[in-house]
Amino acid sequence: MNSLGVYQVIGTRAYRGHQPGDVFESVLDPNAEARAINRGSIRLLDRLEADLPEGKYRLPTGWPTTKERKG
Amino acid sequence: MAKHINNPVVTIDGDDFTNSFRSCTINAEFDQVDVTGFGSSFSEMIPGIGTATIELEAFQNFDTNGLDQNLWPIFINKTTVEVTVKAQPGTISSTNPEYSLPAAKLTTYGPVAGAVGEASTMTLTFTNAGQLGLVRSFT
Repeated sequence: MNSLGVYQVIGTRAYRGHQPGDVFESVLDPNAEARAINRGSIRLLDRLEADLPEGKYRLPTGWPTTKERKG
Repeated sequence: MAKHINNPVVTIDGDDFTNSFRSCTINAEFDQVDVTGFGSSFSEMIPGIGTATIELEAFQNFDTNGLDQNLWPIFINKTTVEVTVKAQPGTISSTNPEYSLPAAKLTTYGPVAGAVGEASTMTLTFTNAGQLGLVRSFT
């Protein structure tokens, strides 16, 4: 699955509408991302993974938890 | 009302190569399928399978990270890339749409052409290689 990345344009050309030096977030095709990094168009600054740790949230009153739903 | 195109934005595999091109032609058409039945006076044609290409006339450039260094691997490895053409710079909108081949292969590439005193130009043809064909985006 493709994941959200934070990239910086480091080449001399704009990349997908972002000017050289710009930092942008995008979900890129893994192959396209690898090629762009390999040819020096962009660099990966960070990989953002969606996360919802246990205990960091509360369900609305009356909503069953996953464990309760599955019995 | 714009009646000419003089400042389009062209990207290949994400990189903006606009300055390398001097002309661009997008072709999309459907085969005609003959479904004429007995007794008809005229042929009855319906659209069949579509084909789509983006043709670009480019100024060749052998510099480091120039056009040739970027296009040759795409051509020889038959790499599938996205090619986009926007009518003019700025935000994509209904009056500034972007046409793209999300999955295209570079099927024509003549890296060396020209004569004494002439600019070295070449024609690139990107041919659709995916299910989506030619896509028009306006948001």
